[in-house]
Amino acid sequence: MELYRAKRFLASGTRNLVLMMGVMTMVLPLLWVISTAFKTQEEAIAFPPHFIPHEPILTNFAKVFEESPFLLYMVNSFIVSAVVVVGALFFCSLTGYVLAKFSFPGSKIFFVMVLGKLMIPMQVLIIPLYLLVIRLGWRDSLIALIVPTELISAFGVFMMRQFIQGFPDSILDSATIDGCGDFGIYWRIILPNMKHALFTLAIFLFVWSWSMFLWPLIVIDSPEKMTIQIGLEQFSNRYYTQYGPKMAGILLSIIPVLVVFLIFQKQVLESIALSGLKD
Amino acid sequence: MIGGAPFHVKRKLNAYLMLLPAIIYFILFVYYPVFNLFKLSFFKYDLFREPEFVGMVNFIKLVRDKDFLSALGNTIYFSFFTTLFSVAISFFLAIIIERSTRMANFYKVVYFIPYISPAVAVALIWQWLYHPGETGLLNYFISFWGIPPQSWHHDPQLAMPSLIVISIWQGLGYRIVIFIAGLKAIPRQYHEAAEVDGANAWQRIKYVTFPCLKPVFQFVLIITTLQTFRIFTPMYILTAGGPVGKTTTIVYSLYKQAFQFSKWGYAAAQAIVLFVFLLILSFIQRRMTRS
Repeated sequence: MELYRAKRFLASGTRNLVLMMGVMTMVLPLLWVISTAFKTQEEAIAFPPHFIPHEPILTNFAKVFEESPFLLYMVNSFIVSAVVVVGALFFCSLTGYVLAKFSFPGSKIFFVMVLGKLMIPMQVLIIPLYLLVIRLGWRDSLIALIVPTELISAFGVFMMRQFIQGFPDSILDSATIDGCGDFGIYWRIILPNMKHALFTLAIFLFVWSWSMFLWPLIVIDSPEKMTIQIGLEQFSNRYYTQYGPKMAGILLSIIPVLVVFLIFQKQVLESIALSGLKD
Repeated sequence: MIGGAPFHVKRKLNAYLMLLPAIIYFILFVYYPVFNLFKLSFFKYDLFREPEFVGMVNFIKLVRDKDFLSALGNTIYFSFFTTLFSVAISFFLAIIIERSTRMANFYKVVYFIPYISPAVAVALIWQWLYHPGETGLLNYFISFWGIPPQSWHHDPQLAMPSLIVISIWQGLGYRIVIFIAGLKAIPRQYHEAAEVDGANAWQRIKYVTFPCLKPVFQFVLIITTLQTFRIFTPMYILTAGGPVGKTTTIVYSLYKQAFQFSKWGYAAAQAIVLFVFLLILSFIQRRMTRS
């Protein structure tokens, strides 16, 4: 028995050792960025490196906001993310409701169109979409970042449909008998009862819109329309050898998604485990 | 009954009405562009002059274009090694995380942090770790083993492996979470039965875990391949496709053809090649998940 317990203890010790090494690998790059963000230029390139800044400073963060429109980049990204999230929640749930609870000629074809979109990533579409955006007069505008991206997210429609399918028909039928219209059922019964699913979709879309890079890189030219990702890329090019401000900028671009993830980790990890969708 | 229309007719009408925005959206922003992409691939177009029909010329050019073929090769190279290591490491970590019940959630959250971090930030973080000269953190670490400073993503030999490391690092958490979910779904009794039969830890993994997890493996393999085939951001930020084209991938190549060289028809043809690759992979996945 003693031997068995000792063996168990050893095994769990080894496991935790391996996992802690992994944790270090995951976290060390981030810690190194945090550490550099609080260093002076001399300290940032000191050899051997200091892991904890000897004289921590905050001026790097001030520099980011003073010497570039970083706040504006962040505001633009928040506007884009907010509109995408609110719009997508409405359109995806409405479309998902129709696909889940109505049968009509063409419903199958439309559902296949939605599924088909899941196989056509943005990288394939950038060329014709860019030409379309020019024709619509949306180039160099935030609308171009909101509408053709995920405003009616195929992933969202699919997810909402799956969820609404599980809704008991008897409740919807009795609402109809009581005189509730089809849209009324969606608005008064479906929506209030799927807060959890809507919330999960909102988190995914927020993280996704905040992080998008290739599409804004193509569509946006003027600095005052830039989102955080292209703004950060520009800033880091301009401050290529000023490591403190550069790292401060990187940190600022991660914080919003990191905070959202840490607060709602349970929902995020659960739904990833469930579907593995939205790569 | 308002309006006198029979109930089911009205219901269908409402359905179409509520679906209308989505129908317009998917046609205008997905299928019309897809159609245009195919059309464009038969034209020579530079945004300014009228498009000129050239038939299959763009596709014939593709097959002979050494740069494109090398981009295709680079993409497959990147995708293959990222997928291989990423799946192997995350499976291994998932198994040991699943056993450490008390800390499992902590590990999951920490390993997931790089995955939710924006790709631009991740690329810039690694640019700092790969900093050349002895002040770079990675060069400082390898100096303990007496290895001289490397120039990582600027070194033709090391560039692609350096980017592969970033991609593995960023994606581990996502795959771990999916593997853990798969492991949890294996009934306890299977393991217990194997244990009673005298199977050791490795045998239990080989004869219980592997066969039960086969569909999860297939899913993770395909999804990782799909993700890695579309890689762009680290190449754009760290290497600009270099050195000597060693890290130019399909997406980077088509981006360059269209937005730098203004060869829109040729870029469209490259996008179609990417599309075909992704479609084949998606169909393999659907085939597998069905069985």
